[in-house]
Amino acid sequence: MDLVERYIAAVKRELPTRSREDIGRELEANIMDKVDALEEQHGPLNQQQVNDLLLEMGHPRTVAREFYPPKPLVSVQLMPIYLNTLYMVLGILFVISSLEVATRWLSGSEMTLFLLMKGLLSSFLNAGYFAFTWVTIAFIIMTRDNKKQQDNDSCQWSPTQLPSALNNWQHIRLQDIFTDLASLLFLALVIWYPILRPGPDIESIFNNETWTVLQWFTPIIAIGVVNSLWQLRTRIWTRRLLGINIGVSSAFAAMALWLMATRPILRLDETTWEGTLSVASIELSVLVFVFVVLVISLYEVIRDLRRLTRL
Amino acid sequence: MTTTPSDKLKLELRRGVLALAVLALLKEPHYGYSLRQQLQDSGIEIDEGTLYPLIRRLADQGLLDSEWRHASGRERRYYQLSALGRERLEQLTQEWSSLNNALSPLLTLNNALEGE
Repeated sequence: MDLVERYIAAVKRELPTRSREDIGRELEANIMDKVDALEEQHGPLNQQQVNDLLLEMGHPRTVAREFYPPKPLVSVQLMPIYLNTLYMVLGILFVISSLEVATRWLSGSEMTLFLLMKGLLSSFLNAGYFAFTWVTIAFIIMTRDNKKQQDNDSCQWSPTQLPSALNNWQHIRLQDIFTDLASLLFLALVIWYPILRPGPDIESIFNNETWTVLQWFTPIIAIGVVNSLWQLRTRIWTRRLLGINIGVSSAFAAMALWLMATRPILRLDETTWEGTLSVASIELSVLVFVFVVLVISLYEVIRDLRRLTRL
Repeated sequence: MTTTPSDKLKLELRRGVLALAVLALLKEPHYGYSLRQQLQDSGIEIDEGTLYPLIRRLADQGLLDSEWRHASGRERRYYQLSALGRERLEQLTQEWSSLNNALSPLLTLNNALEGE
């Protein structure tokens, strides 16, 4: 009966410690009952017959899983809130990482685009691992502690509390909000860094005329940030939010057009870039970037106008 | 071994029914193997790998009482309905009868339509 003992031991290994002996003892009794019944019919069982009998019982892991079905770390009821929280936290960290890296870039420690992107990725991933771990641990604890509370919460709702958003597109994705937020704050930091930075004065990366106009553009950026934060609260496109978005996107399109017409956009010192990139190629890259901003802004204006007519 | 959608439906259908069948048979005390034999004799096939964990789960829910008995050099765990188990069996039996009454005409109608 070595095979039976090996089988019982294999099942026990897959079980929680507190139940191992009890379930193992009962499973062995049941298997031995079956062996007895078969031996009554066919005489003593050989190794192959015992092997077949155990195969019929099922793989030890499958049997153990039937006794103790695996419990998910985060319950199904909490999963949507868990994912939402995770995206929110990661989104906020993305915004913070963008600002942190932008500050380092503007202070001149990392000048190339590659290093800037690498810095952003590295900063975001470091904070992201930490946040992921703690958010997950918090929800594991909530899953263990608040099972009854979840059931109560899902009963306390009313259809009248549901937002009147009938179109799929009305749902605003978190990643869209955080991308907008990070871009707007990044732009605000680039514009205001020379003034806000403590210590000795440094020059803006923009030429004087562009910089002045961009400073006057700050209220539009502020409206965009408030609009994004409001979107974060409602998560649904309404006529008012669409109207504000059209206004902000139009202002961005106008600013992009003005920047394309007013060159050079940047204040570039040829000696700093000597031997790496030509000033003309950097100016061209910025121009292409501004053109992309123009296209995206115009696309958003047209998209939101069409949406507005459908609401 | 792959599980087809049809197998999954069968499994889902059998899951609740098997619990009801086990509760019904455990009005009398049984140990695991004897319960399986009883089920087989009643025409209900069930794997041991499914039956034994099912009995444990029902016992963990307080629906079954259990005790170890020793006889002819062999120990066996006997299970029997608890007071709570009897109450649940009664409720489940009523539910089953009500479902069966509602379902039978539907299935009969379906068979009649297929026959036409």
